[in-house]
Amino acid sequence: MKSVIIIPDRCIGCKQCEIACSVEHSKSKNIYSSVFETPKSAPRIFVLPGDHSCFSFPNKCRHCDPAPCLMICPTGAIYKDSSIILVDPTRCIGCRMCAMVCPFYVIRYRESPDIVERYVATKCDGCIDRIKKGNIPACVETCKTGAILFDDLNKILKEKGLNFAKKVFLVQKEGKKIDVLQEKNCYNMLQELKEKLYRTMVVEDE
Amino acid sequence: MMKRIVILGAGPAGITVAETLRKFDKTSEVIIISDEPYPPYSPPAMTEYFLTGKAFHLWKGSNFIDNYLNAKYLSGKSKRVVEVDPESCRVVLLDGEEIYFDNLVLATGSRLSASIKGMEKEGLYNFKSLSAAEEIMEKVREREAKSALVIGAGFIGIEIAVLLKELGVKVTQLVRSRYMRGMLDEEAAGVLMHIMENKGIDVLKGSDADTVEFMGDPDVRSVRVRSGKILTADLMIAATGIRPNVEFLSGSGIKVNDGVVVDEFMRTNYSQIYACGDIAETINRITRQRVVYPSFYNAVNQGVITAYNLLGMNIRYEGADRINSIKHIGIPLITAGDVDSKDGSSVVYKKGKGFIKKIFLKNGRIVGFILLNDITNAGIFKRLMDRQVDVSSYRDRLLDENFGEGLLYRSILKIM
Repeated sequence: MKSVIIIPDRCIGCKQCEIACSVEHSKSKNIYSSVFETPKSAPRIFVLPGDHSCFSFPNKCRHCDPAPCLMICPTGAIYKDSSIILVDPTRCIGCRMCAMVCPFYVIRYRESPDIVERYVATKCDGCIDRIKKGNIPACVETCKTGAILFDDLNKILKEKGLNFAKKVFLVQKEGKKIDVLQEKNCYNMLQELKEKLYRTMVVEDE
Repeated sequence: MMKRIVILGAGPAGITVAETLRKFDKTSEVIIISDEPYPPYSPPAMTEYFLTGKAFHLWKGSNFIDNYLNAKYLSGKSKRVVEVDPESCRVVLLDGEEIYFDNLVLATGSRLSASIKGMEKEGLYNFKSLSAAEEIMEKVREREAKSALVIGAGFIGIEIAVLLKELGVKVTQLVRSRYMRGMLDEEAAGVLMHIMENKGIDVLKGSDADTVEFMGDPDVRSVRVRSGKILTADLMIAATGIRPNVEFLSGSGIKVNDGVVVDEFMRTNYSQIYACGDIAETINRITRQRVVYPSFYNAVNQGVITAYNLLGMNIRYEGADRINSIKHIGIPLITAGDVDSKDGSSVVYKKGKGFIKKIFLKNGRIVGFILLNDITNAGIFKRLMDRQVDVSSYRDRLLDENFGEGLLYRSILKIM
């Protein structure tokens, strides 16, 4: 089961995912004409600054299970479709209870093209339309640094575990004093970014 | 073995129990008993339903019980439960029907309460249930009621006052001390009063609003307030508070204090009987005191935990929260936790054009917050409050625009 996975260490805060998300959820799905739409399309992913410089964090719906927003919704406007939590704007009464219980604050209240009289809950829909067509979500497609991936979580965890094991092995073998648990600084991040770019280029060449 | 689970009450708590049960257990027999003559509905959506007339806001519809829950639904006045016998595992209904159970869930909710003279008289309306609300709406639809007097300024009082105003009724509201006492501080309550007055609702305060007696015979026609004035209106609506429906439990042996006393697994003193929702007396998540907090949020959470424990999962309830979001006043307003304490709490405060945000801290931990017209990070504050995370290192940044997940995710990783 593939899902959107965020690796915050790789995010450089370029906010291109916000733009892509916004365009994807506009009526025309075109970056130029979407600017002139009313209501204006807005992103459902939010890139926030991190706890120290050179850090940012793409914050989006985790599609929790069990989902607190789905449990609290008094009208059944929030529902689940194949492990993705969705909002039906016509049923939403704008009570803000889901925003109250969402522990990540990723449900925002906005004008919807279908509903004029009130603000309704708007959240990440996992790009369900794109996935049904066989595409990957817009934020994943646009991410240049590999901070947002669309993959099997277990596979990513396995990769990460192997990398860690490799580092531990190196320390033991060469007796090098590398603090494997050290927090990544900007330099390490850029190194990783370069590596990542290099790796994708190699894959493409093959 | 097939179990028979009987749920008393088809409010948010009772229906959540049945719904969560059915996710895991498709075979047990579930019987839901309600004295409301309607299919299960959602109380927070009542105002929306009467404003727009769209019935689909009222939760999951009538075929939900048969198709999804696959439960037997007994409803109507004659299905009121008059006796619960825990020893022989049976409940007796008003029409004499006896139902035996393996597990019983008490979720009968609450009703209007007041200690005012003349309370028991006819002609006093309330907005606690759909059947009570329909009585009000019938009067409004037939144009019999041109003016209304709302006694009380709590959550329900605000909702019915705004609803009647929107429907073109002249509304007078009696506010004894301030709006939503206990859930709003003085400043926010003042703003709320300003909003209500701007909507065209007459707000009476102080001794003009302290109801002493309901007058009229046999129906209530007017109220006498402490200042001596006599106020009258076509519709008298009481929103003076609610109390748990526990009267039918007297003599059954089930322990009742303010509400039905339950342990952390939502069990009463009989292990086969559970209680949840407005009638359950649980503990406060933060202060660990025993409380009855009737709200939709707590009812749903307790319903889920009850269902898990009925299934034998042994999951603890973390405690009830005092949190709510006020609808229909035109602006979002979320209030949570203890916002009125005087002892040793400090306040992080931000006021700007059209919004007020306040966070109350004690020992570097969030104990309550009020967000008026700007609900940024409401859920995040709730999370920090629930877990009692020490926020003193980023105290001053709490109300920054950029505060949020980015700043927190690392510290959360450290906790886990």
